[in-house]
Amino acid sequence: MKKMNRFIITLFVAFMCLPILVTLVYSFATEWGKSILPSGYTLKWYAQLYQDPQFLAAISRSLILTVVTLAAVLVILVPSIALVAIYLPKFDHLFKPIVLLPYAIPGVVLATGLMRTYTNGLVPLFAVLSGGLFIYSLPFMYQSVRSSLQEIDGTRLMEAAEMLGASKVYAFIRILLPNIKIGIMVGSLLTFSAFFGEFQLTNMILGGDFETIRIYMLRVMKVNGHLSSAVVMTYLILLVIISALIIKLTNMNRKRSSMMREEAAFKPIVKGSPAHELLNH
Amino acid sequence: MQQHWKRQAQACLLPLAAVLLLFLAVPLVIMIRQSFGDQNGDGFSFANFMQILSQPFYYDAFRNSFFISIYSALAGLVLAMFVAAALARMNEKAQEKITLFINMTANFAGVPLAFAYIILLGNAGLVTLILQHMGISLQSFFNLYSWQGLALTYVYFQVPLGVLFLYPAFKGMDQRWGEAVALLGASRFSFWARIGIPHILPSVLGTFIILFANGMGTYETAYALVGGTVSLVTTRIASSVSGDIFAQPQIGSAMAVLFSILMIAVLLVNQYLLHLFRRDIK
Amino acid sequence: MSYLTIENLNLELGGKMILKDLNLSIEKGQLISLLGPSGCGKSTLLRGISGLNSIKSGKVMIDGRDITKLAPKKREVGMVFQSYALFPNLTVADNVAFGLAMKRIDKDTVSKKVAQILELVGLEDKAKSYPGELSGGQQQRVALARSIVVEPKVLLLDEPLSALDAQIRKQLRLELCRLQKKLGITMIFVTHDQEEAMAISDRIFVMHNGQIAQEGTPSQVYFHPSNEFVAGFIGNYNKLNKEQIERLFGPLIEEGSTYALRPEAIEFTPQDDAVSVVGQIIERHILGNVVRCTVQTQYGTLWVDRMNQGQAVLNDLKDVTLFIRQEDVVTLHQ
Repeated sequence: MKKMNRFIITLFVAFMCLPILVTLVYSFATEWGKSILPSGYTLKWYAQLYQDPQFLAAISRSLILTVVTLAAVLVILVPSIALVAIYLPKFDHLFKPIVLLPYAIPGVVLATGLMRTYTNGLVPLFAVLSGGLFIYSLPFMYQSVRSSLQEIDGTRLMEAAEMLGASKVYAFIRILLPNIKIGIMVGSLLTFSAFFGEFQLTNMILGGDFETIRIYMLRVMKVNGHLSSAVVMTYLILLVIISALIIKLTNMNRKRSSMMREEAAFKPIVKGSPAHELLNH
Repeated sequence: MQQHWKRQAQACLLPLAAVLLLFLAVPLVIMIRQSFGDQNGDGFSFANFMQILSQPFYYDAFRNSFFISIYSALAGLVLAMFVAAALARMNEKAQEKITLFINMTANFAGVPLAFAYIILLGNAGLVTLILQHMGISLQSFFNLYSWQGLALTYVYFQVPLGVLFLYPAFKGMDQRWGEAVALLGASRFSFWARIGIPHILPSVLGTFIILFANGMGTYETAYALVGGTVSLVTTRIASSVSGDIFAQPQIGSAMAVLFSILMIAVLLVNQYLLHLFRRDIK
Repeated sequence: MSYLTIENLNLELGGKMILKDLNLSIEKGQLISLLGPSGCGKSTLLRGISGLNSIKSGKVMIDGRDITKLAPKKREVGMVFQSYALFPNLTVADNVAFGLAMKRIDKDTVSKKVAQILELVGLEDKAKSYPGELSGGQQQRVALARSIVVEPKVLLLDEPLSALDAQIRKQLRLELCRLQKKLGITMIFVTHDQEEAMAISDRIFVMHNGQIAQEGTPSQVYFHPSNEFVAGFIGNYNKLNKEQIERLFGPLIEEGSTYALRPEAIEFTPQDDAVSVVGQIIERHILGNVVRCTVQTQYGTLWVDRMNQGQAVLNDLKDVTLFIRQEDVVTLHQ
């Protein structure tokens, strides 16, 4: 039985890794297609890629879009989630269906709505795109921040600070924020990787006018597959680093919370957030 | 004092409300309005919807998306059940590692995935070549750039998503299985009949519906793999509203409305089924 | 004029009246318990006094000042939460200093006061630890120190000991009591544990359905429960109706329909002015230092408590004669 389980898991991991592995090999191959193994190996695709100003421009565009939108999310969304969770529980039932939003209103539908509303030039399309991404960050951010608040019993901490004479704003900055910092960071990193790899809204709303990393990837794929593989691998390494950060932060969070309340069942933040899966196809 | 504070707190929500209004509510309302209008968005008729339902050019997109999603969701579900069941019996550490692994691979969907599958199964792909050496022609029965290829490619992201949704239920069931055996000496059959199946059925159904919805909404992978050669709801809507020569935004809007209604209906059925089964269990 | 008075307090939560026309007054320097089952409104009353829940109507006065409409931070009231609510990101010393810093007291005074109070609760060596590194009992002491150090006029404690093990709980409640007497703080202590309330309080307010069911010293409440609810909640009184009582003692002067009889007031040996009742012991339960016997008599079953001294007699005894004094019978009101 044990052997069987291990076999299934190994098979699953192999299934998931195979496409990544062939992409990796392809990015180092001089040519691959006439024989089963590549005819030779080279670093020239990577060299070519890193010298391509369009690649660097695409990365910068993705970064700008991600950072601007994430900043808006952190300034507008995070305090609102905390505010509703602690002081306005009446609004909470409005927030809850948000977790299902990406299923109920698929990206293509929202993009259609945004385009029909804003192609008249009333609002810069970059802002429209950023707004659309903001909407799709709601599920991750909501789940990360909410579970963090629950773990530290945010309502009680705010009350305790108030009873000791702190104003609500001071208590929020000095007590609440530092204690949900890790939840916010995990949510931000998840959002970051989703925004950074965003394709659908960007392609529909701005398309070729704003070539982000994924759009660049697709364009290069049609011209030179090896180069495109090198883009994919570079992009993946970047995201593995981000994921590693998420894991590290989640573990830190766990250590502290388990010390705080031994009996409280730990709910990992990354685990079981299937919403993260959704943005990228 | 308290009332005053409540009002202040509500005022703090205004920026978020504005974003939701500007980038969610208003666009959806305008889209719905235009789905009933003509080319310029004026007038009111069901003409766009009638056109979608009567012309194969449009309703084929729904049909293709529907079948690709059903097939990929079914295949994904079955595979995910094996993986979830196996995962539930592994130790905690391994479980954590696998869930993190799944989260990381989520970034590989879309363009990179389509490209990797071309390297594997395309006309000069690795698997194609290997089969050729064995004297089998893959092209004779499989075409990556068709609905077959799409369904197969979707399976890649359906399986891990299914595992994430199913594995908690399997984990819970394993515990119940242990308890049932220890306390009642229940047989394997009676366990499955009374506890096992009722316990996982809602999750399995719910997961199937989520996978189906996920398949229906997929755009990037399909766009990268087949472009417009296989008509899908998502790519058809996108090409109708994007600035193509044949752009017909009012039809695109109508398709988007139909699409959203379909998805919401599916999710409501899911909620209803969950509610029904949960009550049965309790 | 009492130190803290509450007049005709009404408090509504989620459309439900939790506190109804509640009146209460408390003297300075006393330790008061609000005792009642869960859902009786005792914690809500505390939150009403603290200002964390807003009051629908009524008046709360502390030391001659009307605080009904003030924000929590302006009430000069301290609170210790059931879950302690220590700030996980701050050290023990910073947690304790938090309230003082809010009062803009200079740093030297703050650190002096913090050191003093930590010594008082026996945690001087934990000043630089974080709350997560402390045991439950230690966290509780920090929470106490944090709210005492700002010298509130009234300290509210919301079931502060209920998350602790039985042994630590008993030890801490003694310490709490000593601290309260030493510093002369006015404390309102919420609990559902009648033994805890009896052990520490100067006065007990028994709460029921959002109102005060009875108030008094622990022994007043224990020996003279004024109504059925209190009798049911405090101790395991024998409840008797008018007919049973009249058959025992003859016609009564005092009006009433239900009467209570403490199980330890019934004796197995003859007493002055006592009536005797014959019965059989049908059950015995050892409750630590007390043995509770269930005795079947012609007037119904009665509980009789005896000190547990390992008496063989008690174990073998079957047919017994009970001696009951009329003065031990308490008349209950509805």
